[in-house]
Amino acid sequence: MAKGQMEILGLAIIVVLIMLGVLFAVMFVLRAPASNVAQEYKESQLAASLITTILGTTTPCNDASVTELLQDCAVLNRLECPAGDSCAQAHDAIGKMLAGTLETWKRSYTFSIEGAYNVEQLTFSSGDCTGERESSINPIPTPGGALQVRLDLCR
Amino acid sequence: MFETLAVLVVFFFFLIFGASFYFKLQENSLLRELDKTGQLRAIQIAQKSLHLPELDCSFVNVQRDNCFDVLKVDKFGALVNADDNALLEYFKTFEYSTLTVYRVYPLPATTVIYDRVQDGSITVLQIPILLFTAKQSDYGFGYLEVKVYG
Repeated sequence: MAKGQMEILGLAIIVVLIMLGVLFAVMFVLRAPASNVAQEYKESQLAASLITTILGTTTPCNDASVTELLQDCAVLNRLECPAGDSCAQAHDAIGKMLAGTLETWKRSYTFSIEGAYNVEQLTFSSGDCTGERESSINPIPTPGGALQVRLDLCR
Repeated sequence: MFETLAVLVVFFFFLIFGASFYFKLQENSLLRELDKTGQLRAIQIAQKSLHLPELDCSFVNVQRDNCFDVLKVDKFGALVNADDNALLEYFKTFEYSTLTVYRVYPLPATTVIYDRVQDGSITVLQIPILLFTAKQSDYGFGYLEVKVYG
């Protein structure tokens, strides 16, 4: 083969190698996911802060907090409230708060309480919750044992 | 001689092609970094507003987390919206953003406490908060919406 032809062949090989390198670089860069720091922050904070805030809210039932309503609902059920008993008042309050936040923001979630039969009837959910979840559990002490208030935010 | 010229032409072609490709990739990388910085700034502003003494619930100098005093919120919003000097002073803290307090329970209400808009991308954060009313000594439920521009 002539010398010039050898040079051109070498050049062609370099061209092919460079194109392969550029192709891999483009694939690598284009596949890099966009940063979503704000979303990650929201996800990590929202479930926990929402439960804490809901439980601390005062209701029109003798100015009892949601925590106190749940404690009464679970054990004694003595309070008489504008919405009926403490369980009904808690259901009304929690439902309105979740509707005004998670449902307004179109977030899928499930809210549940475990620990006593009465409070286990207080469940709320919206949307499809089969995928990944961000969960938070908050205990409430009662004479009959701790209630577990759980909120799952679904992605 | 022609072969040398051909090699030089191909060489410079690749040099220009490679350089333009590199700068394009750098631009994409910088835009992503800019976006991430914007989001971090939004989180920073949200955190500052949650711990601002002008808005928080404090009892004997002990601050309650995720809680705003309703009286403070109303007065702060009125001050910032009416006084340009106050708006300028709080610009150092909140920059280009809109802070809105939404009360959800027991009765819905909305208060814009700071508003300085700018064209560009918007990052929105919502943080649940308690709203303390000193007169009745009770806590309402709501959330703080932080919209950061830029």
